[in-house]
Amino acid sequence: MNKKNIIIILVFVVIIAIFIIFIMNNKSIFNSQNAANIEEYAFEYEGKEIKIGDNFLDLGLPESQDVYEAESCAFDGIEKTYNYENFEIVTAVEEDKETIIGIYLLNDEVSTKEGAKIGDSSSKIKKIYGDADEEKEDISYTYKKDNATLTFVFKNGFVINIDYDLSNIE
Amino acid sequence: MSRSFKAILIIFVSILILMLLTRILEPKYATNLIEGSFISEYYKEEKNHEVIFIGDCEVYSSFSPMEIYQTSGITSYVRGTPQQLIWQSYYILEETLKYEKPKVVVLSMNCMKYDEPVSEPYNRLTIDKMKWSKQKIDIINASKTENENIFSYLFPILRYHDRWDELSGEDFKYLFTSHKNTYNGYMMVKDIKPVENLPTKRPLIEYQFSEKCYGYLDNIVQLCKNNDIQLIIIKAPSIYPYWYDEYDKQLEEYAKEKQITYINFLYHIEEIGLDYSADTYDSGQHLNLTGAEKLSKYFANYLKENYELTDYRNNPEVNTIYNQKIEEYNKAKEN
Repeated sequence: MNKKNIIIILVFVVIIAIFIIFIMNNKSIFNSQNAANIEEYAFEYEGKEIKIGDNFLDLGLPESQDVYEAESCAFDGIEKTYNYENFEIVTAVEEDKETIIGIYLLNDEVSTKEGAKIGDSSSKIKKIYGDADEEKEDISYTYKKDNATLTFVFKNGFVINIDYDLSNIE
Repeated sequence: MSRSFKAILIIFVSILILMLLTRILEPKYATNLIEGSFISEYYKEEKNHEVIFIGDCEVYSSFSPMEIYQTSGITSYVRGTPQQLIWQSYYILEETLKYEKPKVVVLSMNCMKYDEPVSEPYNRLTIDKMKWSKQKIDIINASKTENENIFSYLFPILRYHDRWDELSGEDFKYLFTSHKNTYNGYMMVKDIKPVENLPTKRPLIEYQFSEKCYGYLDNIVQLCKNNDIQLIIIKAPSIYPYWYDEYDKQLEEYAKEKQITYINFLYHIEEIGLDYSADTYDSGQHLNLTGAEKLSKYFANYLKENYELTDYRNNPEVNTIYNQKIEEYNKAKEN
């Protein structure tokens, strides 16, 4: 084998090695890119996109099964919880609008816009959303975007709760 | 008129104007946001209470000292403020002990869920009307949120200078007076809003009370021990927001370790006779008058049976004072 061929093989091996190392070390980069592609966290119901900060009254959602209304502990005003069998929406009532401050998925009949649902594994959540902005090992992943957070709570490695909330993390 | 006298006069008048402006601009908590007045009503009271309640809305809407007195003759006062945090409870208890030494302190545990200052407006409702003391400075330092500073409490005009457009008749009517809003710290609400449905009880990320909260609770336990006061920690029978079993377990263990009493009234709803279709004014978050009276009667009997407390109905001097209070209380019930 001449010197030229040895150099070509070596260069080829080095390129392959660099490629493999890059793939191994950057799994999360790919995942993060997935997460970064999500412009804002939203939940979809009957073709309607529901986001934190939306005016509930403008969404034109069907009437909910139950509404719980109480004075808010977090601000001076009324808080309403609309129950829709598989999810709940919490709003802060102002003069002529109701701002959505929470969306809570209650069972595996519904999923996030990106396809995560109750019962999914924590690894699936990472695969969809990438590294969390706040992570409590084996307990929860919280993702933040603009004024909203999306939190997954786990038990034995599987999602038991999914919440969209008004952000309170920096 | 000498120049120095003129200068002193100008300074004096300027200070007076500033004080008057401050007084006009600061909230009076007389008929609007009345919860801000609760802390200061205590200062005008006769300080002869054998039982002091400390805590958030779960004490001032759940325990009626008038009902407790009528049932047992035990004198009590509720030093409750909205969303009172555990460090605030500690300093309010410390302040209370400067005025009197109760035999029993009843402390609401709802606050153990919060280990950070929650909101500036709530801080104001607890702190604004406290008398200046070491405890007030300590409570401000412990409670202030990121954007708060002690100067806005020292000089309220810094905080309320932009209230010009919110001023109402109340701000002038109560410029130099106050309005009595409680009955020994109890806030009477007669409305009924039954529990019809509740939001789903969802799992939480964290159930463990923080070291910070336990630290202040330890301080309260110690303060009571040092003053020979028996401490009862309680969870009021508010059914929403949910109280989790994980909270309960921690407090049961804590009470056992510290040899204090823990009562979760949610376990005694039937014995108390609470009916959530009639005894709450906001769908189970707080008890209304009928609910508070049932709980107070139940608790008065518990106190009578388990603690050596005085029946002041046999003391003419105290009884006269309480009869006047009860008359006022009954009048408010009927109105």
